Amino acid sequence: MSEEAASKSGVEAEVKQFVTEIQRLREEVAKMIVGQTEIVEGVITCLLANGHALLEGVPGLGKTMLVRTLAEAVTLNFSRVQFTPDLMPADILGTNMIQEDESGQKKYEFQQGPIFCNILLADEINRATPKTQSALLEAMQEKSVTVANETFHLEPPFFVMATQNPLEMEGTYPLPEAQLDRFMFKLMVNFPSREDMHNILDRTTRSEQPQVEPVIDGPKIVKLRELVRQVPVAQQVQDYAIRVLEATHLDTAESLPVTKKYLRFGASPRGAQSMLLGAKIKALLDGRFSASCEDIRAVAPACLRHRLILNFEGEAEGVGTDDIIGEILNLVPEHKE
Amino acid sequence: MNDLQQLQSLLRRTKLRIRLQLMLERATTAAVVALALVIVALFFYKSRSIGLDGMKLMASLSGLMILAGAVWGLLTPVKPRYVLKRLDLANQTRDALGSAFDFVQRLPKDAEPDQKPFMEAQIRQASTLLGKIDHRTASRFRMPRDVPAVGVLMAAFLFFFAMMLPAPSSHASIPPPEKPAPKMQIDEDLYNEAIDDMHAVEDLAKHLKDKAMLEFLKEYKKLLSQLKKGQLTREEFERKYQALKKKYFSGLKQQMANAEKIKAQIHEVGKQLAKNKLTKKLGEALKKHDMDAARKELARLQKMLEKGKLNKWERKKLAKALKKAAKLLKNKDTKQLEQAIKKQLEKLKKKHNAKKNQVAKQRQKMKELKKQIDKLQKQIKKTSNPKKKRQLMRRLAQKKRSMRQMKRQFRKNKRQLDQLTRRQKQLQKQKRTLQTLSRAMKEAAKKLNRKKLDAKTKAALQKLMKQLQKYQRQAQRGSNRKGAQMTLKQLKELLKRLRNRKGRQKGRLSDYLKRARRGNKGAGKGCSSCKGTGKKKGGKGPCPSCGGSGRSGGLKPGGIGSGRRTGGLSRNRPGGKGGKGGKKWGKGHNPGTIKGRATDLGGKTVDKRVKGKHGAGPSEAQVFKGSADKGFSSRSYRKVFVQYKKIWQKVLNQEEIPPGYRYLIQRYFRLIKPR
Repeated sequence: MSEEAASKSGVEAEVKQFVTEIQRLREEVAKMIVGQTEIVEGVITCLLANGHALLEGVPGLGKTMLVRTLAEAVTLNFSRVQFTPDLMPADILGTNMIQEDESGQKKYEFQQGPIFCNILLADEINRATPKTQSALLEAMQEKSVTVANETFHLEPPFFVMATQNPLEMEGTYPLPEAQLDRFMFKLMVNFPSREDMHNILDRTTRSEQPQVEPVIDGPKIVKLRELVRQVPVAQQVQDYAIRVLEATHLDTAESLPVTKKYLRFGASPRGAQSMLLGAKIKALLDGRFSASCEDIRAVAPACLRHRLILNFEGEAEGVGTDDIIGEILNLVPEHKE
Repeated sequence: MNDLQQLQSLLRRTKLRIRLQLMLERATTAAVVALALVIVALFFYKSRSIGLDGMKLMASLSGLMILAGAVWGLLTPVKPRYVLKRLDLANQTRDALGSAFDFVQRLPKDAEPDQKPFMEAQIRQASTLLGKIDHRTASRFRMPRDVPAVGVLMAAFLFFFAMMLPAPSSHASIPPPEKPAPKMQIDEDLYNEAIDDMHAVEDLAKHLKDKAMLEFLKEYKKLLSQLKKGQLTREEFERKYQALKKKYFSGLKQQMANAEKIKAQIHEVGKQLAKNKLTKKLGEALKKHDMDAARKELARLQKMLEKGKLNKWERKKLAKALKKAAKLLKNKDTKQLEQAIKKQLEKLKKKHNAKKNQVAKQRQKMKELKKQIDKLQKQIKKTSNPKKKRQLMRRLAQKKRSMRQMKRQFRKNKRQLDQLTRRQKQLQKQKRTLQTLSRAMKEAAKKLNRKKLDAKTKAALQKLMKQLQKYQRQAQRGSNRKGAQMTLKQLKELLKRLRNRKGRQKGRLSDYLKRARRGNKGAGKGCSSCKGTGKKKGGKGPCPSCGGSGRSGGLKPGGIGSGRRTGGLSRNRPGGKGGKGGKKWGKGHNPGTIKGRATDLGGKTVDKRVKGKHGAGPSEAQVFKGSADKGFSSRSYRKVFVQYKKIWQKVLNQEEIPPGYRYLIQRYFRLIKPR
């Protein structure tokens, strides 16, 4: 087989394999999680894009279950941290403790915190103090932890799924915009539909509990991540993503009346990066070899909703960022001369 | 390669469809505008504001507009990416084609190595889709959005075409006969007024032997008589007026400006001469620009010289003064003036030469044409063939017409040439004025310095006097021309007022009569002081109030009334009616009411003095040292009027007064003229 022919079959095969493996992952997750396909897909997208996800939803919707199931399906180390106001950074990162060795000599030894895992569930991140939040967020960005001048690298893949409870916001420390920007997606977990509720009840109130089998391992995830990065994007598709981003700003050529009316600040370039990576993964999941404008439109809400800052008028009128993003996607044309 | 060709073919076909759609859209939009234009043109055509040619032009323009719109649509650039986007959207291929096209262009140079396989895979994927792409879905035919507007306008067009104004008939209708333009006519009074205005100019022109002015006056009188007979329309009068103005008064402004400068120089000379005791009077006369007085003074000096009343030292002094004066006339200002006049002359010379050449060329042409006419006439005499004869006669008639036109043009050009020649001469005279005066003064000074006085000294002084006289005549001619121009302008002003005169005069007259009727018939009461007896209290002597008549009020039946209502101060609002008068004489009068009510000076007044400005014109005043006795006046009105006439005429000539005001002033003096 010639080199060309080989590469031909290689790419297609890789993409086909990608699709198959992710499909299997989905199916495994679906054993435990009923419905919530968008959330599952969003979380998987973040995992594959080397990003982190922020989930917002009321308690009891299966957020923890989702992450745990995902961790089991990909045979990755899983940790859960319940954030409380008295949680300290050391509780997450770890600390130096005095240890006695066999000879009876005492020495300082670093005890790793729960952050030293592959998948971390940071429950109710907004309950912790900003100091604790920043410790986690710094680790998310740097993929390493520095304690007492010693740096410890976190083993790849490292994925954080943080949750926020939209109720009981009093006494919480909402994440600042700069910190929110580190999350690739913000996913809204909605209450399941009646049909899903039937399924949930059927599955969880019986004696037989489904078991999740591991389907992908960590190194595989890393490979899949590399594959994602190889997906090309046409110039016009990238241009579309940029124009959508620019439409969220007040002082650009693309800015729209709705932007000027309700927004204080628009999304940062990280938003465009997230959109592009998300679109690439979506294209691969569809078995295509390049991202399209449709893929950008599909991932834009999740990428941008936590990156837009409403002004007073927007807050007073109760306008949601999703509405604004919807308007922007309707008005920004896919093709512009 | 095959796939690429297929893709390009698909692109081309889709592009063509898009272009055709654009062409249709733009042609429809242009059709809206074009139809609107045609409707407007049709309306104007139907209302005969434009002819058939205009209508055809508008229709052609409209057609061109539609064509231009179509061409514009067809030539609009359509980018491949746009086309591919439309294909992707229409066929729901999720940017497969657009991405493939982009990768095809990037692959050779810009693609990253790790992305290349994907790009190639995408291109392959797109290729598989090519066969399924329907380019028609990407560029469906749709009705241009302006079609309804075109429909509406078309309906409007048909409506205007068929229903509204009737079409113009094929035969040219006879236009209604043109109303003859009204003729202007002046009555005897106005004619005499206009003639009177010219008398002063005429007298002076005759005295100065100014041929040009006399010619002008002749033509002016002819114009006046035509106006009197009502032979001219307004346009004809305007034409003749402009022709007269151009013929006799072109360049007058420039000439007067030069004259003023010359006058200023002579004034300076006068100032200089006035410094010397001997030439003081001469200097004063020159300062006032009174050349007669200046000449008289020179004559007196000459007599003194002849009689030996001036000693050697005084003669030298006189010569020195004259020499200084002569030098003054050659100063920087004089040279500047001469230069300015020289420039004016040069300009005029150019025009003159050009006109001269034109006249010469025309003369030559006329000669040639005359020869041709003679030749044709000979040929006509010789030929017997009637057809040829008619042809020759037609050519002869044409030549004669051309000859007439040429003659008219030649006469016009000749007149213009004469005008230019005249202006040149006048300017040359002006240029030489100061030079000759200076030379004459210098010569006179030289002769005076000689040891012995002889005939040459006398001749030199007489030459100076003659130069002064020449200058005076020149200045007088100039101001006379200005006066004539003013009078001509006044004629126009007079005719302007003629239009409104008749209507207003009646109104004025009736207003005057109404005001004259103010004054009532009184109550007819007797005098309240003497109770109608006419006698003083105590019985001795007549009553001082009524003078012994016993009547109150005036002499007429009913006496004096006060018919004036308050507020009736404007001349158009008459006073109120008074009461009805009694039938009998009054028995007395009431001294209290005879004087009437005292004027109510309720308002405060402040005396203010306005500082006036003394004009350039002469003024005359007479101070009454004592009150006149009752009796006849010591001076006849006619003599007074004649004296004042000179003054006001001088003032009118010297001051810059607008024609309207000039007219009013002259009219005033005409009205108070003794009959």
